[in-house]
Amino acid sequence: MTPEATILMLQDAPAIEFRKVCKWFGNFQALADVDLKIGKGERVVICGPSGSGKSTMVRCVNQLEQHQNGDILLNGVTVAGNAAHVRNIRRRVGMVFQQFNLYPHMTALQNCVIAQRLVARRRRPEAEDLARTYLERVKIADKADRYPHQLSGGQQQRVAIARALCMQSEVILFDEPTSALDPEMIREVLDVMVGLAQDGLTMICVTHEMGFARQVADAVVFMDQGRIVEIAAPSDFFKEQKTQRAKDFLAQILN
Amino acid sequence: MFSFRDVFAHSDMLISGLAVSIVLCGIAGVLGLLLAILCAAFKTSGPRLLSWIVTAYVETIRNTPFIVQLFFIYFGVGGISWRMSPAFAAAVALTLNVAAYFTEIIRGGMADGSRGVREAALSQGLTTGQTYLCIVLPPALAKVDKTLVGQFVLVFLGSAVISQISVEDLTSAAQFIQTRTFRAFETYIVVTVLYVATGLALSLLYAWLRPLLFPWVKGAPQ
Amino acid sequence: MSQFTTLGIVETILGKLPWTLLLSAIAFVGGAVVAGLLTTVAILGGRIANASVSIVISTVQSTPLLMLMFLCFFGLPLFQMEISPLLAASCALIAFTAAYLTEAWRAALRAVHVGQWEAALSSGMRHDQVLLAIILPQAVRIAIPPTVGFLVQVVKATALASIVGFMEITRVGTVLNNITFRPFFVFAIIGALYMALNLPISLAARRLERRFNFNR
Repeated sequence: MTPEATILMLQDAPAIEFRKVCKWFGNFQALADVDLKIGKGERVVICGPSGSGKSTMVRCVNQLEQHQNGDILLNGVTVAGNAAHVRNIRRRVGMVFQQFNLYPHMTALQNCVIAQRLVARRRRPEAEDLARTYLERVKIADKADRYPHQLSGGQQQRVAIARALCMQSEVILFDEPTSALDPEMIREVLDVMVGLAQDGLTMICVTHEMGFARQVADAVVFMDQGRIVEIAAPSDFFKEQKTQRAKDFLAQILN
Repeated sequence: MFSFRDVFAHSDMLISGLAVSIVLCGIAGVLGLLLAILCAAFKTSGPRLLSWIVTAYVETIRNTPFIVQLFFIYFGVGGISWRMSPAFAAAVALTLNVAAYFTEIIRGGMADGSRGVREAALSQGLTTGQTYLCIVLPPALAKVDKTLVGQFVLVFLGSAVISQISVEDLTSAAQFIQTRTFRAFETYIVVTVLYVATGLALSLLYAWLRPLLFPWVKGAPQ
Repeated sequence: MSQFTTLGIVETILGKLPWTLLLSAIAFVGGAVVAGLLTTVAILGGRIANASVSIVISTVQSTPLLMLMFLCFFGLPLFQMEISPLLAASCALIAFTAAYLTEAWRAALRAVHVGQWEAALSSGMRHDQVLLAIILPQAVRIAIPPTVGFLVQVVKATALASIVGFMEITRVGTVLNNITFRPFFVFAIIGALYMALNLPISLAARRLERRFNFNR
């Protein structure tokens, strides 16, 4: 194999790849034969009705849920494995949750620092510098010494994003990041996410915010009943859907 | 009719007895808390066998009288293996008693509300141990701290029975004083007041300590 | 002596079990009666009565039970009463039980939604009518789990009666310990007996708690 071909192959290794992934909760099949490739630097929005398996799909990437069949690969490495292996994967994949899940007994700064110290084993000054940088990035540096209960929902979510960024992961997963926010605060979080996208971050985002998808996504994935039903570029997806289910879903959402 | 003077003549005995009670309970409180943190971890996320052992231990302590636990350890275990001193047996019995109740209280504190935060910690690559100690436990302790202190005060009040295995605690001092002075009622009134006052002092001490331990709790001065 | 055999030991201990049960019953029933009176006084007697009851309860609950027993044992004779271990232990345990139950029952009454009071009073009923017909039935359901659960504490508390000389299963244990020098076995049996008594009650109380809380 020529060196150029090897380099090309490495460059082509998808950041995240799903191969025929299936997941059951008891008798209920949450994911059925999911196949998907997400390249480095791509922003993918996953949408669909509730119960369609979008959250499950994303939670399988960092093994918060474990899939039973098929394979999920992070830069060519399978994510499933023993506890130590999964922890390694989680070091490389960040996640932002619908309920923010900030550590309530730590300030915004401490929230961003703790995993750096325990997992990445960075020294405190280095970790704090990085934390302040990212808190600055999400425009909340002035609240670094506040506890989560002193922050609004939008502010908490921005801290959560900074916390995920501090681990300098290869991919960041967003599981309905704005669904628990009051309408006035959705904008500030989406603005931050748009900014991250423009910086070249690989993002997988489960969301109902179609405006965000239109603005920033490279691909929109529509899921229903555990299957990927449609994948398209946003411009194509929003102009004309190929399936009736996608049409119905969009009609519902956009009203 | 009542004369307290004879009782107060022995105040040195009362003080030393009270000191013994406080020290033994203090040791039991600290060790019991550590043991409870371990047991709560085993019961919520340990292997099935360990979880079952903890359950059996907690239920045994909670459903039997402390005095029987004390006798079992001092006479029973002490009879089989090495002879242990009364104070040591009392410390062990008190520790095991505290730990059993604390385990259930801590588990209660972790019950709802910690799942999402736990997932966030795991998603960042923390081990289950790090997640438990650094992320889940501190807020849980902050939630149930008053219950823990209340339980500790109950154990302190219940520690009066360690006098029955000749530990020289406050009750033991009382029994000695009343046989000397024949002022049983007055002696026990004084000793009761001492127990009550100490219990109160412990609660107040904790109220002062609380914002230092848990600076993030709402209402604490920032 | 028959107490030296294993079976003899078990028989001797079991022989004293009725006394544990008797004292438990006296304490629980007596305490419930006193608690009923105190609760009624507290609820219907106005703010001062309520506060007085609170003070009495706090005092009793802050006192070590062993001290309560000694105070009864040494204090009651001062009032020209014939004292026996059973009487002293009963008085102390009744006070202990009444304090806890009063607090639990007052809490149960408070837990009934204030809207119930408002609705009933605004239809013209008197305070005591409201209490009896509307509030009490609901409060009883809330009060049952902690009341049943407290029975466990009462049974455990009877063990302290051994210290003032009452012959129940714990005291017979100390006696047997001195005779047979088999303390591990003796106290293991006694512990097992308490568990046999209390575990079913604990489980029942927990089930009741789940059932009644679900409906609320």
